[in-house]
Amino acid sequence: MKTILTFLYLLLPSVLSGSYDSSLYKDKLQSGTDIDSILLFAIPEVVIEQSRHSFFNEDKKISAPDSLIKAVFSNADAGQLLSMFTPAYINSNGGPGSSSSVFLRGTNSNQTTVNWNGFPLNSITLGTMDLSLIPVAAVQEISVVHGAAGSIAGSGNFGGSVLLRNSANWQNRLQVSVKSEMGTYDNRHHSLSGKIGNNNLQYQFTVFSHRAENNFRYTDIFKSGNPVERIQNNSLDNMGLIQNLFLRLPGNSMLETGIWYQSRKKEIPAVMGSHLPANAMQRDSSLRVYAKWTKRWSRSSFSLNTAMFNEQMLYRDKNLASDNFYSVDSKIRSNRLLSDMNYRLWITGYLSADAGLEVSSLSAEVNAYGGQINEIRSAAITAVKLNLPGITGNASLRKEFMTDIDIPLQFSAGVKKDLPLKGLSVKSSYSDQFRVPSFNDRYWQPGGNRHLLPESGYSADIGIMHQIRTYTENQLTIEVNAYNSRINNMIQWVPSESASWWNPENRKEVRVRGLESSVASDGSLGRWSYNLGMSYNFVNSLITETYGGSSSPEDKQLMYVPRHTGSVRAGFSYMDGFFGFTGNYTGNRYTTNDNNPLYMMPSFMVFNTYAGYRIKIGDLSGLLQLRVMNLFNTRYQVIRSYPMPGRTLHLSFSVDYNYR
Amino acid sequence: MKNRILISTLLLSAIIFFISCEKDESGPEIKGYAKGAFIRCEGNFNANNGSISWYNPDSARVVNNLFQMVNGRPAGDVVQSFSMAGDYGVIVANNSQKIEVVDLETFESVSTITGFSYPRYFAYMGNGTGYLSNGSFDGQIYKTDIIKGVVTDTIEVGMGPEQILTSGRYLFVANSGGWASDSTVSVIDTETDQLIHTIEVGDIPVALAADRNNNIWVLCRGKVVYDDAWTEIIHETDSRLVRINTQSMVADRHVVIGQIGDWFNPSWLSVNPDGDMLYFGEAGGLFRMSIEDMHQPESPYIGKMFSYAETDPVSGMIFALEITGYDSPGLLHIYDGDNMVSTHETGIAPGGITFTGH
Repeated sequence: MKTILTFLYLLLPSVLSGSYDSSLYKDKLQSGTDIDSILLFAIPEVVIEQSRHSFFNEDKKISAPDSLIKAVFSNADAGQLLSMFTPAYINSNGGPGSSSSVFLRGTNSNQTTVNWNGFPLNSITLGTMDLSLIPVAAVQEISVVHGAAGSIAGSGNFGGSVLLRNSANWQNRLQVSVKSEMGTYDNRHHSLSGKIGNNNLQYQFTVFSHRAENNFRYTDIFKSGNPVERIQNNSLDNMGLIQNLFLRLPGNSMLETGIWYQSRKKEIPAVMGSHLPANAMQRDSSLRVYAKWTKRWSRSSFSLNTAMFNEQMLYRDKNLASDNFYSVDSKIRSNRLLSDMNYRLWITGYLSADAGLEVSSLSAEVNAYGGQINEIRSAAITAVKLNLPGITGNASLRKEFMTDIDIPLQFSAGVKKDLPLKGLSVKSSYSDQFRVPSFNDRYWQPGGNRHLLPESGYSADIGIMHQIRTYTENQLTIEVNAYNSRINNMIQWVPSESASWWNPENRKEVRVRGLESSVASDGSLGRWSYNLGMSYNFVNSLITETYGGSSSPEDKQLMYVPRHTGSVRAGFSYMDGFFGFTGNYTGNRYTTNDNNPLYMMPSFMVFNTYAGYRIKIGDLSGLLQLRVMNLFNTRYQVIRSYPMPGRTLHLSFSVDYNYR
Repeated sequence: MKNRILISTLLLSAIIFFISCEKDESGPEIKGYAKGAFIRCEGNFNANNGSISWYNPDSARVVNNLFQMVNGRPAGDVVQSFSMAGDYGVIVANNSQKIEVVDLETFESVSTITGFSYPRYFAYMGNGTGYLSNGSFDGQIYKTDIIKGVVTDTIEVGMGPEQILTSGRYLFVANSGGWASDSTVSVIDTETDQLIHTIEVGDIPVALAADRNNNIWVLCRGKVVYDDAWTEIIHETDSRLVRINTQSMVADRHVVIGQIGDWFNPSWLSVNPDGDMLYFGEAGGLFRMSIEDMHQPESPYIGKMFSYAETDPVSGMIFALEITGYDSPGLLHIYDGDNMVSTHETGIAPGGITFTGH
């Protein structure tokens, strides 16, 4: 027995990541440490604590920003940052802070989930998440899993999953950071963050605010003579606080908690072509709390996670600014109580199994629902992961339980294999997918349809990656992924045949086929370091079948899904200074189901550039930075009728105090 | 040879006869687009893809996006109505808060008139002047000079004025309530531009049609009633066709259409060229009702839902519009009686037809 365990012990380092020094384990073994603690030691804490969302992802394409891009866009929102490092198409109806959503892999924005520390943020009423409500400063880690497995990530992951994570730096003792940014059109960002702790306790907080007039000038192409006008009723006032506490408890357990409060007031401008300014306003406020408890044993771990989300949205509009009453006064309140428990067992050093249970209590109060709607959802998940040298794979099953909707058993499997040529690997995966209709789809009165079928289908992909590392620490990464997915029973709101309102129906079958390719290189030459990259992405997102009397033409590209997108980026550092640029290309997008070229929005390419300088004096460090967005003043719209700002300048500085 | 001369003479005479007959029948020369029918297509809210489709009677085809093709920009956001105004056409774009005046010969925009908050319908009186209904709450009728592009007078009417219609010297205004509630028709004397009557008709009057007796028929949608907290629908009120006697200015006939509980609120009304049959959409399809009937027919004339339908005064065919979605082209169905003879694609969300009468 001991021989086997010893073998496992020696194997584990290479099995788990290939980056651990096995001599360390030999030393520990020779010192007489018992096998259980060896196993425990050999499995990195970060792996043990990994949520299912990130533990079963090795077979998927994952995008994450490099540290320079993340620093440059640290005052931006998640939508702006995502467009800098993923092929995702970010829909936005205006300048910074305007509502934005993610379109990934040729699917709609309600077919990609956004998760915060493992809990879904997507609105239960709409099904989407407004990325402009997520400040980059609020989270330590952000990544995108392309085509995340439905059996692991749950409802609505045809496109993928955006993972936001707060994490602790256990080496931190005391760190205080102040950031300010002033930008064109009276954009003002301020944030204060602090981290304090030791090896067993870490507390961190960030207070942030973003105010802007956003009264930029634009060319109104929908008016006679294309006059240049200034956008009105577009101001923003956003503030929030996020706190996290991480505790290492006796008995190899850990407790993590977080609170995120945010309140944003955003004016909604009129569309182009209007001859009166709008008076609409939206206020979003949310309080989100979570707690995670993790217990580790020698071969297993257990985690109990719970979260409570309270979200409110107020939308008000006046017909005329002088009116002393609102023409629209709509309130939406929702509450979510989410819990997730997971037991992970290492059957052997290279084979682990997860068993999980999710239970959610959801409620929403909307005038149009005719009262409060309550719903309980639960799901049982089981998954295995094999982690051998040179090959990893996983398989998982999920059964979702809902009162009125039957969700079939969900299956996913994937593998990543290193090929004989050093640095070359292939990965492939298959995932069943589903999306539960949103509360609006089912309960909105009039029109809501409680008998809607869930959207169903699959996503599958295959990818190849080659990482070439040279002796000078320069690295070249080439990655190509091809994917194929099918969406059955896609939900669409259509005018009702029998009554004078709209109702959602399962109308379409959509077939998505696409390709993502990227080349990236980073390294250093003397005192210079560089980070270069470019990408090209193609997607055919075709309506292959329509039914129910729909006139939506078949074999047409889904609205707002560009067939071609691409990006280039280059960042350079020399000693304490850095500079660089990014460029994003978005191809033509159709705005109607019949792909009418008259209403097609033309392609555009937007370049941004930045430069900064770091100053360090003792434990204090400062960063002065200039960012220019839309460098060449490109005129474009992301959503038809909503102008985007031209060139804007953002000057920022930050001061960090770091006591070690 | 004699025969040839005789035949040639007869043919020439016949040609001259027919040419002269055609000229006599056609009246003034028809130029450009002043023939057939214009279909106003609302488009999707906030998408600036409202449009005008034109039915060309010569080719029996529909030309879509006519305004954009000629002017290089869309007609506007939420194209609410299209009206003939002599040699001009008037397009009302509700969410662009404007009216576009187009030359019917070229369909080029000759002016864009703004300054409105919630424009709905336009009725032309002649001499370059017409009336525009406006307002989602408090309602106004703007007397507008479309040649000079200015508003010359404002008349306060009921809440949320929708369709307007002239009968003799009077302008009738359906006060729908807009985003609130109303149940009246305002009557304006166009010689004095004064409000002279406010007639109670029924809940949410939206559409008007004049019959052969010059009486005005008013379509009242009926009202959805919520509880005090606005969280629950309690009931709905009758949808009605109400006749206004233009001599006495009294609502002298009420015909209930549809049924309480069908949750259907009709939105359109038209009258045939003879002025003796009313067409309207109700739960179940398109209904046809004589102006002498006291009750709605039991079954629809055509069992299909349309966003608008009207009889072409030239061909006698029924032109019926179908909205298939607000991101997709709509459809024009042409019926000979209740038999559909052709279907044509239109712009997005077609909701009204204006026949030129040629």
